Parts: sequence; C-alpha cells; structure tokens
Amino acid sequence: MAKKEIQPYWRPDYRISETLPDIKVIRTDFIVNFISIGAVLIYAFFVIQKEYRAIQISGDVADLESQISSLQSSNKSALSKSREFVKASHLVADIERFYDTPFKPYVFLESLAEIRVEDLIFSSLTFNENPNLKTKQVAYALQLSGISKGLPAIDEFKNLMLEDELLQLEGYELSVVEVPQAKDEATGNFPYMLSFTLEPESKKKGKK
Amino acid sequence: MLKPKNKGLFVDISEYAVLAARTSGFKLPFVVEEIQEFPLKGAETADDIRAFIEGIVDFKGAGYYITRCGVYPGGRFTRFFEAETINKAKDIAYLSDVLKDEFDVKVDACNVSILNAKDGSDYDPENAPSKKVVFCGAPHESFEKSQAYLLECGLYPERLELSSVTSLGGVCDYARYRQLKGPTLFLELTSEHASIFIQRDGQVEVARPLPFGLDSMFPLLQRELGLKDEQSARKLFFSNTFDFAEMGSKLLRRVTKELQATVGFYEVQTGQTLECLVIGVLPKNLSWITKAISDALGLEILQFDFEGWLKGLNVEIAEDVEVASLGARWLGVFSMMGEYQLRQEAVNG
Repeated sequence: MAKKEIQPYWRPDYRISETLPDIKVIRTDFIVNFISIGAVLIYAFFVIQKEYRAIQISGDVADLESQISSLQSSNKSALSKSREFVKASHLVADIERFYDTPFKPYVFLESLAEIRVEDLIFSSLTFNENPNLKTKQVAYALQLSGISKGLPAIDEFKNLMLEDELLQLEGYELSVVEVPQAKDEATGNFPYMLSFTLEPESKKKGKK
Repeated sequence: MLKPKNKGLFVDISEYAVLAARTSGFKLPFVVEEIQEFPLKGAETADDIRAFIEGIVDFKGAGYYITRCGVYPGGRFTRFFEAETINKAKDIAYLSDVLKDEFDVKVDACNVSILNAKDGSDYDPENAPSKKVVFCGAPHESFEKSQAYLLECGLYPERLELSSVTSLGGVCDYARYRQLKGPTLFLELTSEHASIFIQRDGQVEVARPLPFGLDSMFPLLQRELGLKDEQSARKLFFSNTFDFAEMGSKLLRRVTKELQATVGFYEVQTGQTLECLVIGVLPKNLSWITKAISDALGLEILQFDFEGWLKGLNVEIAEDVEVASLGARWLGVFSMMGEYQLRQEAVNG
C-alpha cells in the first residue's frame, strides 16, 4: 500500500512524480545561486580589499611614526637652530637697515665743513631721526645754528646746502626753513638758525 | 524570485465535461477570475481540450500549464470503515487486510489514502488513531493513465486529486458552513461507476459503491423506446432532444432502490432522517436524474451558495464570474480550492 504525505483535508495528492516530464526550460535555480554567490563574492572582495588597505595604512602610519620618533632629536636641534637663525636674521636685518640708511651723519659732517662759507661759523648742529612705525620710513631733521657776519653769507650757505648733493637723498624731499633771528647789536653779527627736513616722498604725497 | 507570477488553473475532468477555473494564483487568498465548461460528447481529442484550455490561460509558449487536477480514474474507490476498537485501528496491517478482504481492493496495485472520517485529515494511527476512517484511491495504472492524458492535454498536474473524495470533502465542509444538522446524501453517478456517501455535520458516516453505473439504464431505455441498440440509447440519453421526466423514475428504479435501501438502513441505525440530496458530476442535461431521485427519496436538493462558501475559505469570486446558477457538478472544481483545515482551526481556536 503506497503511503501518502500529509495532505490538505479531504484532498490527498496522487500525482506520480516519476513519470512527469521535466518542464524547466531554463533552470533558474543556478542563476539565483550564481547571482547570490556572485554578490557575496563581490562583497567579500570589497571587504577584504578595504581590510588590506586598512592594514597597509596602519603599517605606513607605524613606519612614519617610527621615522618621526627617530628624527625627533635632529628635528629639535634643527628647530632650535632655526630659532637662533631667526633671531640672528633680525639682528642682521637691523644692521643692514642701519648701514642702509640714506643719511649718514658722519659723511654729512665731513661735507658740511667743506661747504662752509667764509664769514659764517657753526655753533650748533642737531640731528634727529623720526621713524614712522606705520610706513617703516624715517624722516630726518637737521637744525644748524651759528653766527654770520652778514645776511648774504647766510643766503649763500642756504643755497649751497640746497644745491649740494649732500642733502639730495633719493626718495626724499628736502625743505629748509630759516628761523628769523635778531641782529646782535653789540657785535654787529647776525645769528642764524636753519632747519633742514628730509621727508620720504610717499609720506609727503599722502599728506597732499 | 525570477519567475513572474502565473495564474492558477483548476481543472476537473470527468467523462462528461472538462470544468476549468482560472484563478489569480494557487496561494490563498486568491480570486476566481474565469470559469469555463467544455462538454465532452466522446469524440474530443486531447488537442481539442488543450485548445479549450488555451482559451482560458496563456501557456506563454510552454508545452504545459501548471494545473491542479481532479480526475475520475477507473477502479476508484471511497470506502467508510469503522473498526471494532481503537487498538485494531492503530494497526496499518489490519487496515490493509480490511481493504483487501472486505472491500476487495488489490492494495499492492493501488495508490491508497486513509483519511479520518470526521474531518478528512490524513489518518495518523500512532498519534491520533480513530475507529472511523475513509479509504480512498484507485489502481496505480488508472492514475498513470489519467496523468498521461492530462499531459497530452497540456496540463501539468501540480496536484492530482481524486474528484470523488475531493467533492465529498466539499459537501462535508459545505454542510459545516451552512450549519446543516441533518445528514446529507451525496451521490456520484458516472457511466460505469456510482458511489453513495452520507455525511452528517461534516463527518462521513457512509461511503460505499453501487454495483452499477448509468450504463445499466441503457438496455432498459433501448427496450422502452424500441431503439436499435444500446449505443443509440446512450446517444439519446446524453442528448438534449428527449424529455426523460416521465420515464425517468422507471429508468432510475434500480438506482433508487439501492439508495432507498442504504438510506433506510442508515436512518434505522442512527435514528437520523436524511434531509438533503447532492448529485455531483452529472452534466446539466441530466439534471432530471437529480429531480427524479429527489422525488423518489423525498429529499430536498441541496442548493450551493458557492460564493459565500468559498469566501469563508479565502477564495473570492470575481464580479464578472457568475456562480449563482451553477449546479453541483462544479463541486469538484471548487472543492479543490478549499483548505478545510482553516475552518477547523477557526472552530478549534
């Protein structure tokens, strides 16, 4: 007696599977398996690739860290030397600026003595530097005072000063102001005071 | 996953007609989208049936269409048996001997199922033995022949069911749905075979064959009408050209006598009076047989509300499908759609 599987109530199945034809035209099971396995393999590939990259990066990081630690001491020494260099370079820059000043007082004094007119004597020379922190430029102010036997000598000296290359500084504008002085009645001499101002040209233009 | 959803197809093939129903699928819940009947006069070929089926479903170029099939194989049997004790009923060998000795079934040559008479579930002698069982099946060769014929018609059986017992299950479940308390007589009449079933409250209490079929009427019909031969009588019998209302009772006398004997015996034994009659599988032009037997036995012909019944089994009927006027011959097709254990679970739950 053939035994049957458990069936819906009142509906046993008498199908004879052995004599049924194979009706699958296209076997789709393998396609489903193929796609599933393919998807899993692709996913696994990406995961493995990611992990490998992560391991590689970790290795690189470790190498670089060890390089960093090995170079730490030489880096420190280089940094220290760099700081000293910076300090020194400030000094050098200062010195350069010092020697690069357009106006050299010692040269000025030497030349002034040569320009001096007869009948004119110097009694006082004041020299000031006025740096502008904003523009980093320096204006120079000279005050020369003395005694002259006559007024023409003062004018002559003033003109010589204006024309001489002594105060012709590039990038600077020269101006001179004569401070009026009263004649010395006792001696008959004329005291004078001349103020020479050298200002950087850009500053003057800004003021206009 | 890659397969597009195919429509479901339920086909009941008897000697009288091919009854087919196309549904939205096989898995519940589904919708019955179309029903068609192809009457068989005897000359139709497998190609004719295939052409009929192709008018209902789209084969999509395939050689076969997946179908749930109900068939009436030759030598089929459906027998009720009540064991004396539960212990005897537990013994499969004993039940096999009953089938062989009492019911004259060649067990080794047959495909047999044993069902619980109370609900049609598979009989489990170890875990849920019962004294009352129903044996059903047919010779293996007959099932092979039926299956081969289905394949010739382009139908690939996803399930191959014995329409007799499937229809019986339908009657039992319908009785539960309608809450019919009284017993119902269910009769299957074909040319060479007839079976009587009595169910009460969804449980089978009688299942036995009649020793003759409709063919037994033809000699009498030939004599009564003075026809040339039995073949002429048969032709006339299945045609729509003769009104058998008058001589129907005479032709059916042998059948009605057997039925009366069975019914009488049952009523005496159980004290229950039969109320309703169902005659399955007969074509529409033989509906006079149902009327004649109903009159002879004094039983009401059970009318089927297929739509309401199937709705309770998660099967919807499409709006444009007319089922209200369908006769009991459609019981075979619709019964194949029912998963009756759902109603049982609802009752138990």
